[in-house]
Amino acid sequence: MTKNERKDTSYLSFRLGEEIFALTVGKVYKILEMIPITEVPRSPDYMKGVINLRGKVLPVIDTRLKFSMKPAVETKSSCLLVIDAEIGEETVMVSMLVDAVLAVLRIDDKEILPPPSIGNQYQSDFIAGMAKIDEKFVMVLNIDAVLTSDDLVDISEIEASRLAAEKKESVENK
Amino acid sequence: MDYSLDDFKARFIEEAADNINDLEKALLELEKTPSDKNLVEKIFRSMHSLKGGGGMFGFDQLSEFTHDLESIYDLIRSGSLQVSSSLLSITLESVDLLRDLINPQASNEEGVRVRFEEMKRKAQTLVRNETEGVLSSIRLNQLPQDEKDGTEAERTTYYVRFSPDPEVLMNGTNLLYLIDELYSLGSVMARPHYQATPLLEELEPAKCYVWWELIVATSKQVQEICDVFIFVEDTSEIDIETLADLDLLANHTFVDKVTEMFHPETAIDLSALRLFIKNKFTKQDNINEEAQILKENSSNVYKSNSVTSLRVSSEKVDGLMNLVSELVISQERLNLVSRQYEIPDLKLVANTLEKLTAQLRDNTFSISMIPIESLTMRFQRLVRDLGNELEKEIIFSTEGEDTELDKSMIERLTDPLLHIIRNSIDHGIETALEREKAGKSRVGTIKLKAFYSGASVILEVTDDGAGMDPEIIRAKAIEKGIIKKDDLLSEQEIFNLVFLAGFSTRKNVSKVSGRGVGMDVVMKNISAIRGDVKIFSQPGIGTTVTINLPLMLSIIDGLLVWIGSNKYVIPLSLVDRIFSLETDHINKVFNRIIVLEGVQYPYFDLHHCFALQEDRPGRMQAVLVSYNGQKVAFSVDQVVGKIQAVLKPLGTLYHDHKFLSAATIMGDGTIALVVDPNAIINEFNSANIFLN
Repeated sequence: MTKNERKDTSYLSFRLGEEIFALTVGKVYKILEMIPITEVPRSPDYMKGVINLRGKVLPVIDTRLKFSMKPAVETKSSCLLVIDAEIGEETVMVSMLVDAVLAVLRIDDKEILPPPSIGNQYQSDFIAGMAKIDEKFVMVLNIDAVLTSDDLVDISEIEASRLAAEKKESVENK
Repeated sequence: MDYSLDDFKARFIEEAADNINDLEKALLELEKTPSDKNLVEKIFRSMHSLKGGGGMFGFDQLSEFTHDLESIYDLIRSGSLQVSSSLLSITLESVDLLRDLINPQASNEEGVRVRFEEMKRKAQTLVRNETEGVLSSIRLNQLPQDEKDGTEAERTTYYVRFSPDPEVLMNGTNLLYLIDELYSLGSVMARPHYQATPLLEELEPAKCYVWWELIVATSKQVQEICDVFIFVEDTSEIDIETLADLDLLANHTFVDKVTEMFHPETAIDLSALRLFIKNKFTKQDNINEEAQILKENSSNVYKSNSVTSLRVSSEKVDGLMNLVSELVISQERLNLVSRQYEIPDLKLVANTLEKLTAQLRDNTFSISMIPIESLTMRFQRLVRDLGNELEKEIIFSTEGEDTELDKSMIERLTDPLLHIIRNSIDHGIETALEREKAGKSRVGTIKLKAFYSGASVILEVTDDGAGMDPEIIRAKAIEKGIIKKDDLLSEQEIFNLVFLAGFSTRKNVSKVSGRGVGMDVVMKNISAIRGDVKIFSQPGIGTTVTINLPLMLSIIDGLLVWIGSNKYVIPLSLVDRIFSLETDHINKVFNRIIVLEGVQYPYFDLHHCFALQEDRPGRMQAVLVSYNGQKVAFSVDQVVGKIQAVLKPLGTLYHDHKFLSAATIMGDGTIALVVDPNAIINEFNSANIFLN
């Protein structure tokens, strides 16, 4: 097993509202506590603003708004995930505001199930797959696709398909 | 270190491109002053380097072709051939071909190959036609000389000290070949110095530790000795001095003396050697003669050891610039802290450091500044070629070529300027006949003038051609539906219409220009580097296009202001005045016009422009900003002061943002956004306050 593959089996999970998502650890550059965010006027709602990370100006994405959820009140567990995203041809450092960072998970490739069918094609592009962690399904995000697209991620469809998958699973188990 | 052939090749291509540029420049100058020997020398050397390097790195076509060219210029150099305009034309054409030949992709293309063959034929025909007679006569003259070769009387003895650069082997130069080449000139006594060679464990095999002292007795000119070192002269120390006008090496006493004087660690004491020669070989001790020798020596000293410029990769320069930018930010932070604590010593250090930082910043940025001369050369060419094609007589002159601009800015200026000049040639300058009829001189002039003005650089392209009639532009704009029939426009505003997309007043579409794309692209390209273009024209007299550019791209002086809960930076170069803004003023704003101290100004409420939700403070300030020669007022909550802003891009995700050009990090680590006033005005100008 090469180094690269081993790295790919580690995922970082985070929470948005009640939903749990994961993304491959290789994409995550840093996890930051909340710091002041400078708002940028006249930009999409989900573009929360910019932060100063050691002299670099990084955009902040309000992930809840990008996932068509209600804006959250900041809590102690809110934090910024700094990730290296591939947008177009470029690698861009972007920070994502999430409700909480949960854990680093080890998920083998074979444990990752194909993404559930979600109403819209472009919506299913956002999801790389699903994995079952503690009897619950975690959506593995294709974060590059999420950030490249101007569209919002429809959380209700994702939630519905997760519930459907969980239901199907419990029926099969019985 | 790992150097592959590809690295060498890349380096060669880079150097060859420089050589070709030098060559082109020298050729254009030669056209004006055909008798300038130095220029011919320059041309010859550029060609020679191209030929040698090309052969070394597998650019066979290049070296084959330059060989033909070189032989022509060798004849000019030796004075047996005159510079003719047809010769220059062919050489200039060849320069274009040379550019393609060093491009590995292009050189394989069929078209280039065909051109190569054709040009080669042309060059060879030229050599044959123009030089046949000369060549044969030279051969005749040379023959008896060759026979005499070897007789003592004809030879001169030179002392050559050659200390190659330690890195010289990296270029693939074989130094022994150079020494061998010297042997081919006559008799040589070579004494290498290898004392500096370290022990084996410290030895770097790719480095050269050896230097030479050579005594060369030859019947050839001193120039030929110099030519041997032509590839290494930039980096090596080469000292060539005449010892005597006879073959000293044929004399045993001299050889013994040199062997005796030779010291492995230091150079031979030349004055002692001279004294020895004088005593031994010159009978009449004439002071005049000595002075003569001295004079000759000093003119023969061919020194090229002082390195006046360095080739540094732009990556390194960019890295340095980034560091300096970080330093400027830290400096702002230090200033903040020192103001906070009011400790005299700290203040003193902070002040000194601030001065140093500013100097370092200016110095570093000057590294990436290059004179616009590198641009104007290309235009010389364009004017020459296009003028010939359109059968117009045009002189292109430049002023302030040493004005420097940021390297990246120069790159992005080329296309817009090219377009402007092309327009001048095609639409501006009339044919010689038309000009005569209009009572002007037959020859038209296009002038490019560059100069500094405050924190900006101004480029002016002026032609004395037909000019543009505002009325015709106006009529055209009405016809195209760009303006309404009863719109009142100032002359400047009418000329500005030319920059709109799809606007072209030329009736016939010509090959050169006139498709109505162009001036809008010019505008766009120049706006992208935060510049500004204006056009002014008088029918029958000429047209002037003025480009105003910021000096620096990455650090600007800015005015820091509060708007809502954010800090913003307005480029200081645009700021004209600051007014205090009372509620009373704002209440009286009508149709976006505000009256400040009795003068009406177009007015932009930035709270509104930025769609901010926050309440406006009771008392605000207005910043008067220059826009296309007018003044426009922007409302801000509060002006904080002047700052040095290091511009940081907002990144791809904010790429489409129109009003903000960048962000900057303040001393306390917070971010301020840099406003682009021109973009705001353009966006909100739908009400046409300037056009009414």
